This record gives sequence, C-alpha cells and structure tokens, in this order.
Amino acid sequence: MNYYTMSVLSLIDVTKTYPDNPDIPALDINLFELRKGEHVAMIGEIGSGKTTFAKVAAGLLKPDRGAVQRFGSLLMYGRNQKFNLDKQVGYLSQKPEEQVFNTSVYREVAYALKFRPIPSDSYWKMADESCKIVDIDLSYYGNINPFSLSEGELRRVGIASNLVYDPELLILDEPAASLDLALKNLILARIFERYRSNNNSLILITHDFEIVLKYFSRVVVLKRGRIVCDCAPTDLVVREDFEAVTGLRLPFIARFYRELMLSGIRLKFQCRELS
Amino acid sequence: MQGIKLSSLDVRIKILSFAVGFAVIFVANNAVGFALAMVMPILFLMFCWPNYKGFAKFYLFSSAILMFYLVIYVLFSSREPDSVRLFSFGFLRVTREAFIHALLIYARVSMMIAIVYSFISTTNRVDAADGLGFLIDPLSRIGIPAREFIMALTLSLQFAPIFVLEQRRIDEAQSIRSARRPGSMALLLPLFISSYRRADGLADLMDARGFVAGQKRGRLKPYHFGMLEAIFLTVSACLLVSAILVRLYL
Amino acid sequence: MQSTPTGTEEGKGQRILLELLDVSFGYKHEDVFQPIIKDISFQIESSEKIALIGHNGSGKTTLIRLCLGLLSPTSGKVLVDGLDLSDRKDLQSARKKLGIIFQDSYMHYFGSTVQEDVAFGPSNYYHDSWKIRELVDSAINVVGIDALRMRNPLKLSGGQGQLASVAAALASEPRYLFMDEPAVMLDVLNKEMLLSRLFNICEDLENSIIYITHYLEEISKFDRLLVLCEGELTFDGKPEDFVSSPELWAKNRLEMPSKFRLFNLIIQKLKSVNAMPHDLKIDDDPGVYCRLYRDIFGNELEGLLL
Repeated sequence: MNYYTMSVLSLIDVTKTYPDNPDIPALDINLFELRKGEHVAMIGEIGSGKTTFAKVAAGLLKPDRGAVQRFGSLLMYGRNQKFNLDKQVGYLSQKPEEQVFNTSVYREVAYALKFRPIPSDSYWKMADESCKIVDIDLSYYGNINPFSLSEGELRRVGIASNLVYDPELLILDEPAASLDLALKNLILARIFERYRSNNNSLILITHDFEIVLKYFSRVVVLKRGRIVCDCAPTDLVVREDFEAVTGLRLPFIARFYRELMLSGIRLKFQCRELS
Repeated sequence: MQGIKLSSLDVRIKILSFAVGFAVIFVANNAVGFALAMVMPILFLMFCWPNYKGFAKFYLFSSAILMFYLVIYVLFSSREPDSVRLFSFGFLRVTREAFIHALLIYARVSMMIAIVYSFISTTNRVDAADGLGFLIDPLSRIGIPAREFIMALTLSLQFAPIFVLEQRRIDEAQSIRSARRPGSMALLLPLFISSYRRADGLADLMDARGFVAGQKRGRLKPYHFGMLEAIFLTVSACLLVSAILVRLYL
Repeated sequence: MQSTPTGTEEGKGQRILLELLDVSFGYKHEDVFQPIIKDISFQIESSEKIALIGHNGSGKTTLIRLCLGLLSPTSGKVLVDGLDLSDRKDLQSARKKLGIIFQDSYMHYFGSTVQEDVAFGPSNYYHDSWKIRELVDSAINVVGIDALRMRNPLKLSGGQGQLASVAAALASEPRYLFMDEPAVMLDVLNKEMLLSRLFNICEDLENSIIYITHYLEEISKFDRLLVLCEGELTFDGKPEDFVSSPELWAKNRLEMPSKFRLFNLIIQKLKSVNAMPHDLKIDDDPGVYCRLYRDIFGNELEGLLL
C-alpha cells in the first residue's frame, strides 16, 4: 500500500487570515498529516484557530495559501469543487440540532444517504445504527416529527444524521457540548468505539482535556493558529509548562494524574462506559 | 461651526430634512426649483466630510446604470407630434424633449442618491428606526399601528446581521450532509426554522429585561434640539415653502 | 439598604425573598396533561450563591422561565419581594429585580455597541438619560469591560460576549441573577475566571446568583445546591452533602465527574482504614489529593475509573 492511499488528510503550508484581523493569521500550519484509522484530538484556547482548522479540513473554507489533500487528492474550490459524493467526510458542528428540517426523524437521519452511492434498501439499517449511537430507538422515533422532540433529543437526532453515512474522515467540533455529562460521555464513547472498529479517521476539536486523556493517543495543540505540539496526551500532561504551551488550564483530574506521574506512579485510565 | 459634527444632527430632524429634501426634488420643475432642490443634497453631503471616496464610488456606479437606461429611453421614447427632432438614424429618433427629460431625471436621481447615501452612511439604523418611531408616533392616536410597525422594523434591523451569520453556519454544516457547495442555498427551510427559534429567544430576553411593547422607553443618547437642529428645521421649512411657491407661480 | 439574614424588611414592609410556592407547570398534549414542573417550593434570599443542576429534560430551563415570569405556572405562585409574577401590573417592576443571562445571550444584542446593549434594560425602566447612563457606566465598570464599550457585540469573542451579557443583565440592578449555562462555550480557565468574577461582583452588590450548569465540577464552589429530577426538586442543601452521596447521583440520573469520584474514593478508603483524620476538602489542590492517594494506596497500580 503506498503512502498516499494511507494518508487521509494533509495540510501543507496552509495559512488563512480573516479580513477583520489582517495582521494575525487565524491559521498557519506547516504540515499536518492524518493517516487512515488514526484518531487525533485538537486542543487550544479560544481563538487559537481550531474552528478554522475544522472548516479547512472539511473543505468549507479555502485557505489563502497552501494545499489541502484529502484521500490523496488535492481539494479544489469554487466551481471546480466537487463535493465528494462518496461517504468520505463528515462534519459535526457544535449545534447539530440546527440543521434539522425534515418532518420525520427517519427522513432526517437518512437524509444524507440520498446524496451518496448507497443502495436505498440499506437506508433504514444505516439510520438505525446511527441512532443507536445516540441512544435513540428508530423503531419508536422513526415517524415522529423532530420538532416535537425535546431539545436534548433533537440534538441527538442532529448528531445521528451526520454520522449516518459512516464518513471515512469525521471532524467533530465540540459536539455534545451542552448535553449532560452522562449522555455526552456515552455518545462520545460510542462514536470513538465505532471509529476504532471500522478503521476510519477522526479529528476531535475540544478544550476538554479529560476526554483527550481518556480516548486519544495523539493530540495536536494549536496556539494562535500554529501547531505548537503534536504528541501523546500522556506526554503532554506531565509537562511543567503545559499551561504556557497550550494556553489551557488542565482539568483537575489531569493535574492529579500529573502529580502522580511526577511522583512515579502510573495510573491506568479505564473507560467506564464501555467496560 | 467648527468642531460640530454635522452628522450628529438629531436623528428626528435628519429624517424630517430627508423627507423635505425629497419633496423639494419632486416639486421642482424649473431652474429656480432645481436650484432650491440642490440645497438639501449639498447639506447632507456635508455629513460625510471628509470621506467622499465611498460616495464617489457609489455615485459613479449608480450613474453608469442610470446612463444605460436613460440612453435607451432617449432613443426609444414615444413620438410627440410637435417635438423637435435633434437627429435620427433609421427608426431611432432623438428628440429635444426626450433629451431634456432624461437630463432632468438624471439630475433628480443624483440628488436623491446624495441624500440617501449620506443618510445611510452616517446614521445608525436602529437609531433611525427609533427616530422614525418618534415622528410617526402621533399616527397611533388615529388608529394606525405606528408603534408596532416601528418595533417590527427595529427588530428586523437588529435581527438581520445575526440571521445572516447563523444562516451561514447552518448552511455550511448542511452542505456536507447534502454533498453540495456551501452557499448554493439549496435549503431555505432550516433558515426559517432557526429564525423562528431565534425570534423566540430574543422575545424572551426582551421581556426578561423589562420590555413592554408599546410603552415609552428611555434612551441612552437623549434626543436633543440645539442650534444645529434649529438651523436645519428652519432651512427645511423655508425650502419647502419656497419650492411650492416657485412651482405655483413661476 | 442593609441586608441582614432572613426576611429583611425593606422600607415598604416587603420581605426580600424570591419565593416559589407549590409551583407546577405543564401543558396539554392531546388531552393529556404533561407535567414538566411538579410542586416545587423554595426560597432565595439575598447574597446566596446557588447552583442548579439536573439531567437533560429535568425542567431547569422551564423553572428559570417561571422565575422570570416568562411562563405562568399552572398552579402555585412565584413571588419576587412580595410581587406576584402572574399579576400583570407588577410584572415589569418585578422583572427589574430579576436578571438573566441565557446560554445564547451573546448572540442577542440590542444596539450596535456594547454600551447600547447594556443600556437596553435600564431604558425599559427609566426615561432619564442621565440615570440610564449612570447605570450603564456602573455595570460596565463592575464587570470591567470598559475597553469593549464601543465595540460591536457581534464581533466579540465568546468570553468577551459573555462578560458583555453579564453587564447587560446587571445594568438594571437586579437582586436575583439567573444564569443558564453561561460558560458552556468557554474552556476551563475562562470558566473559572468568569465564575470568580461573578462571585466577587455579587458579593459586592449583595445579589444572589442562581447558576445552571452541566459542568458539575463547579458545584462545590457554591453555597447551596438545588437538584431537579424529572420536574421535582429532589435536593436543596449543601453541595458537599450531595457530592458525598453517590447513590443520590444515580437516583437523579446524574453522572459524577471524576474529581468527585476521586474524592469519594479517597474519603472512603480513609474511613475504612481509619488511619488518619480526613480533612480533605473537595476543592483542595491536586497535590494534596496526590499525597493522600499515595499514602493510602502506596504504589498500587490501581485502575482509576474515569
């Protein structure tokens, strides 16, 4: 297998500047690579360029300079932009419930399938699987109008409708930020598990370092649009200058972990939801 | 007059002068009338001092479009029996009447552009809606729902930029799902839905902060009526009166 | 106006209290009454710092809206300093004492500058421009956003926007400040900063804060905790008491964050071993936790369940 088919996403010399802040580039990346099956978390403080990165990777934003390659081919923009009709890229925004517009949950979840080369008799099955991730029983909810659902349920439908086509590259931009802890942990755990088992790639953008420690073995730190660190979370957490480097405050449990590691004790983190 | 920022003219007087300016432009039908009509546009243009680049660009752009239509008008206007032919080729005939008429239209539109541009670029829209509300408030006494209209206008003005931002965000996320380019606006329904939700949230916030529809509210920047306002009011009144007199008797 | 504990008398003989008396709320769906809030009663005095938590759909937002008079209870009463919120006449004056910051307040703004936005509240209650100006200046100074005064609210960053919303809510001098997940878009550091700033402000002004959050680690910083579960108020007391009862969490369909689990783990082990006095406080430094953990568990490679 040659190298290029293995690389799912690469950003080379990519810069992007916003017009109302012309002196400081929102994004300035020399090189970023994601291989097939790899999961990476991207962290950084507010304004570090995380969302810009997500949009560039998803193909929604054209960089001022540089090249973005996906699945080995260069992304084109404007009229040359062919949005791949394969089940290639998925994008989960912060408020997925805002996209909902169909009159039944089933139609909403299955909507994305219509635009992809997927046989229509597998629609229901794929929608059902996607709903299982978010703890929604499609046989019960299928015909219900999404707008009569509660906020939390609507949000979950929104998440399911973006996962339904099993994208090979999934970009998550702080999903489930305002779901309660139990549900959020459950859904994230299920998503990560699914993506481990089907060998697809995933980028999670977050400022919750606890999730990063739990599920990821690679983390990229963005600061002022630049990548300042690309390593394993466990290596990052023990650094004295963590806060200076990332601009983030370590959550309590991570600090505890660090103290322990510094005094020579290694703890294993287990994931409750899936055990 | 040094140091007085002309555009800080109280917005109510600004609106009144705006209306008078337009009225005088339309009432004018001879040289004197037009001379009078030029007064308000010039005054308004002084609001923009010292940046005229924006106006220049806009004016040139609008002139180009206007010229295009006027040329067509002049070439194809209907034939009056005793109009003076200036020249013709084939079935195209340019008459003096049509030509003069086109010039008049151009002059009028130019003056209107001057007033409108200066007003819009120096006035806060929400403020303007407020000022308009003040002026048409008396109408509510005779049964016209002036206050409600103004409130709707103000809200849409406030809403619009948020709406645009939101819509773009939704569109982006949608575009990945439906495998199309963002911005091709294939789906309008999510827009309406989000705007409905936003309206709900906005209404709640307004209520919670003590807003009562139709009730008179205070202002951070108070309405004022000073020297500048008096001058403008006087000038407007004089212009209007003279313009009408000129039309009637000249 | 001096404030002393319970039931301070204001000039007119009103008690300074936000009261909910047997409040219920629901709606009819296909002839069936769906309850959302069931018989809730509690009181809030001034200078209280209250955290309100509950699972998704437990009715937190509905409860807040009932407290603000945006919804009318189907039974029971909401009284703000003696004023009944369901009374049209009193509603506007009652609202003056209530401040709210919604989750998406940073998106709703009034006016093209932060200053105008902050002025919206006062302009609904006062006609005098000087008074409005005074209130606006005071709110902006208290929150410390003088540098943002003339900025366009839409162009602010998340954290700045939230501060602007705080100023806007404080401008009408409310006594009871409600906040529906104000820090949801902020990272840990900014969350902590916002919270400590809010606490300082409210201590100075003798306001009460009622703070809804999903970020459960924060609750230990508050004086009082209210827990909603399926529309009912199941807990009203000290956060420490709630944290140290894991069975209550499960009953309320809440998941305990790792910090508290660690806390309980250590406390339990200390109790069972009975080795040393446990003076561990929830908000102690991780270093303290670490030392205790090592002393108790030694070098065991204990799988810590996060």
